Amino acid sequence: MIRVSDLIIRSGDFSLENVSFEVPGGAHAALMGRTGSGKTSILETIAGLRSLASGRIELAGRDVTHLRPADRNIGYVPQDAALFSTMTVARQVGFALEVRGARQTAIDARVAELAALLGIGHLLARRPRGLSGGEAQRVSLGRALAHAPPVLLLDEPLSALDDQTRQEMFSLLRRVREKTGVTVLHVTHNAEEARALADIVLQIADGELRVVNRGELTPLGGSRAFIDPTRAGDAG
Amino acid sequence: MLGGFYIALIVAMVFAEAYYTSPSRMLAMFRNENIQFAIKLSFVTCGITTILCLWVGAPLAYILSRWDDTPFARRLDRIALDPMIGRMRCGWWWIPVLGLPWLLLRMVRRPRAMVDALVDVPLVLPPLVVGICLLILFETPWLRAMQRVHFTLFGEEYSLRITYGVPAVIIAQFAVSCAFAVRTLKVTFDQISPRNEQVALTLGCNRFQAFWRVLLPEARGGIVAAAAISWARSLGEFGPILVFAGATRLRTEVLSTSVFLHFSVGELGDALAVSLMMIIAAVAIMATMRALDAGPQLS
Repeated sequence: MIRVSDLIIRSGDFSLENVSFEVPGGAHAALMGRTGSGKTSILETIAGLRSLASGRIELAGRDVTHLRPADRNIGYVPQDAALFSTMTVARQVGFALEVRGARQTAIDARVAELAALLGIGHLLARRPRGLSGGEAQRVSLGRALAHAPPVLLLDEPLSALDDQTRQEMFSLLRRVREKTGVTVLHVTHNAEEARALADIVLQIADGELRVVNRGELTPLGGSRAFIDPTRAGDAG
Repeated sequence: MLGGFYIALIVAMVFAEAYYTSPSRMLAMFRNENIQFAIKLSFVTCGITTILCLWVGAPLAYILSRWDDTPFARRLDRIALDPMIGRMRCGWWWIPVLGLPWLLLRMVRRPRAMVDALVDVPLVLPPLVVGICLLILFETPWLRAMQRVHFTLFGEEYSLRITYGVPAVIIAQFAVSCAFAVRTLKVTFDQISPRNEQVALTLGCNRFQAFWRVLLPEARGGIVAAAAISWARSLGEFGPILVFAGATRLRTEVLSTSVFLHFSVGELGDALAVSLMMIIAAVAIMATMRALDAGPQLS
């Protein structure tokens, strides 16, 4: 479960006021909005990577508002996958467990389990250089899921993929949710992704965050309220 | 064309140096007790200085690369600078009262830029001035008192004497070389996306672990380059060493000061032979480090 209450984010000339929403446990929520509307800022604040002016964030029933990212127990997949170039795929996927001091046998078993789920078994000995966009995102997803987080935060992970790979990732994400029961908050500007994957669609438009039905999804045309249009640009 | 001229100049300088030195002269210098000591001391001090430069330079370069001091500047504006400006606009008589504090606060408004500029100071100061500054610093009452301390360890008596000793050679090399290491490492860190460290934080790392386990391995090429440049710079350091550590035979004589000692008493051939040794050592170390960095990588 993700519960955000009265969240206020301010960064320079950008501000986002009184954002509140709730994603029930095991649901997949899409967070949509135009570039610069602040959707990535919301995601990064939930992840603990950006400071908040005020508000409250609960993840899986725990108040994490003032916790470090490491203590929030989340999985995070950024847009560019951000794979660690010096590590093999296997080490990368097991990294969260390695940091937590897990035994190597437990790490190997978890890596094998995730490799089977995500179809990356043949990539385990490779380094990120040379992986395709789809492969890189699968590895990034595996890395984010290794420590079995109850919440998965996706920041436009499919935006750079071709149509066929994107369709494959749709079914992969559905399978992951089915197998793990993870609650997903998925930032996207693509209505097709939201229709295909989301149970709940949250849309930032005209400076307001509102829940819309999937059937109501329209091309995004929200204004950049709360942002000085001449100086916006540091918000996602 | 102009670049080619510069490369030709470097090659011609080395060849001219080699032309006026014979292998027998170099062998004779290798057998000289003073030169053997200078070679040993140079390698030991350059090695220690390089380790120090990376140890100190990496965290400093990381801070300079990643620290965003904008929130600090905004807070300072809101709390102090803007109200002071407001007061001074109300009446000119506030200017003598608030002008100087305003100027001082304005100078520390961007601490990152200030530290960034300070790092460049040893690069722009004449080497002799760096040496004089170090000498004066270590002759201040507190540091002089510290250097008078003697202690016994495992039956041997030691002192904390720095000036005109081997520690002074290392400090003099470090004072200049570290700035080169910081500059090289900062450029490296600037080129690596902070996103990787952010992901590491969400995977359970604290800031130090993200730096140590994720950023440093990715910066391997830059670290090797920083080590190479620090080592080579330490080997070539002369002015600060001469002033701060002296050039005493079999005590603080390193290769660069050895060249000076030979040159100053008219032994040009010996000075050239030692110079050629330095060139060979510097080229060998740089080439080895580059080869190590360009080692095979599995994709």
